[in-house]
Amino acid sequence: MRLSVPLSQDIPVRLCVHSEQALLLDLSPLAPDGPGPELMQLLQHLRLQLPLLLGDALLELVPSYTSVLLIFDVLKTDHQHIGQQLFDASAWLFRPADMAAAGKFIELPCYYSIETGPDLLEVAALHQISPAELIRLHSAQAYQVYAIGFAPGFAYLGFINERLQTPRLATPRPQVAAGSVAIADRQTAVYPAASPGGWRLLGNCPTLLFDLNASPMMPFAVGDTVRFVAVERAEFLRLGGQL
Amino acid sequence: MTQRLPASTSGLWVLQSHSSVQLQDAGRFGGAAAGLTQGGAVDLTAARLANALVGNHNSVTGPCPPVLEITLGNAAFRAEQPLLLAVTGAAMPLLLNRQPVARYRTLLLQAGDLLEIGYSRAGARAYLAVAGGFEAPLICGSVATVLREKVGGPDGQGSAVTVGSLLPCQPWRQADPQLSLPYHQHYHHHSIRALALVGGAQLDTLDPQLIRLLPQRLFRVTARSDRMGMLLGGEPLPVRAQSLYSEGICLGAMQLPPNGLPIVMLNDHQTIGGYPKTGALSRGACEQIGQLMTGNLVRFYWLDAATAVLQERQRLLALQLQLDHLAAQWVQAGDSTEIRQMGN
Repeated sequence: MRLSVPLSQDIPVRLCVHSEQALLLDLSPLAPDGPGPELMQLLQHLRLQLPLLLGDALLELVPSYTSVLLIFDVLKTDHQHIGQQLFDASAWLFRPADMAAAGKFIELPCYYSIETGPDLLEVAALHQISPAELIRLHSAQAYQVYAIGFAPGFAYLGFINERLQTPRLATPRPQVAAGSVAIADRQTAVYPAASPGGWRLLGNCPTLLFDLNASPMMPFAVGDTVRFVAVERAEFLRLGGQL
Repeated sequence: MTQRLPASTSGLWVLQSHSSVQLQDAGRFGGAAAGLTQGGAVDLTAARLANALVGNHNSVTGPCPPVLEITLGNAAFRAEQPLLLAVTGAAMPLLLNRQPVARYRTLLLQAGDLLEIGYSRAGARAYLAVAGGFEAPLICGSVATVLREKVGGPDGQGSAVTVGSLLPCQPWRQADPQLSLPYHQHYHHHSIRALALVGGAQLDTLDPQLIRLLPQRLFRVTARSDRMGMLLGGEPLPVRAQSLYSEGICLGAMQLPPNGLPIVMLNDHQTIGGYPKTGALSRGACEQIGQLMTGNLVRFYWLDAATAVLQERQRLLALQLQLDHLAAQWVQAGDSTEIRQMGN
């Protein structure tokens, strides 16, 4: 097959060769202005439906922004066969009307403070707003989960208010505390575990976001919607937050 | 409530080790959507053969019992109990009680015996398997050590094999079945490799010259290569600046960062990334590039995906035949010497 082919005449989604055992579904033709809530709803739908369609020939599925990577077992299937299965199922796979399973909506408590968000004052000053206004803008809107990666459980949430767009630190911190709520460019995230990091820290979320022994390992997935709710110090500690 | 049995106290003492001596298996699957990488033995062929030699039956479609992946060598162990082991993969000097012994054959260690593995002469990774397999907690179905993720390994927390620790495994109570693999089935190192590269869809958006230039270039393995990826050096390739939404990355993907020097993703690769990709090496080619040492040279040639699938199937079938042969020899050994007779 060619390196990249449209799935069908009606559906401009492209099927791309990534390796001898991987195909990428490129959904970007559906979202010429970039990924948004509608595309994420489709990604959510595909994340749930593709494992059912492809069965045990599918080893991994990685949704991210405008694509879904499919890694398959070459002893059970190949690019052509998966392409045919996707084509045959395209009517219900890609019709937004059929997307019954809407994403989950999750509220994450966040203790915005200097003690949990060492960059809070600097970011506010950079944008010439008060820390209270920064907190209001960050927690006022819902975010889409666009991708999960970088580290286990690290979710890229977007997109933050244009007024908060902030570059990464020139030099990443050697250690960022687990639960840190951070922003970089037009995205926001929670560091699920302590790690080095260059994002700007605004606060801390006491909710455990990644547990290897839990099923599922994360309370949300790509395509879900997340919103931060500002909590006070006492509530943060009551919820298990660590200072 | 049933009480958990105490952990096995028999096993292999670690006298000398470093962060690239790790417990590995076939890898961890199903967690990529949560950001968990696959991990697992870089040269899974060598790992499976080591297991099959010591009677840990495994097939190309199934799990691989836990083995030690020893990168570049320099490790030493002492047997706490009699153990049956085999070492495969890269050519590392192997000493049993200071006497040279061969790779790719069963070795019976008595309690107190010392096994030393020197610096590799050819190849980056050797595999040490023990009859019954090493015992370690399964994290999402795998013991694979991923240091960066703090997952897997002897403690489940992602640590490498540490000096002074005991790697639990079952003692061996029978004779040495004296199984070996013929020389032509050993790993043979080539310090210059030509490896197939399946062209990826992003080639269309990269510099059109790449298709012609990439196979003409000779790349050098740099010292910054590790289990995450092989960082190649050489004359930089043309890269067109473009911003890409991060997308899923598979094993073997060849990324082209702004410096124009390719990075081939190995088993501990990140799960998503935004660098453009020229394509990917097949799993078989990943095993080969993962055995290259710093300064070794590699060249790439284009291969279409359908042919790559067929070649991969042939490679897996050939390995399966080797595993079947060893399994059959174990049955024969059991028939003739009752070596497989179980204690109970």
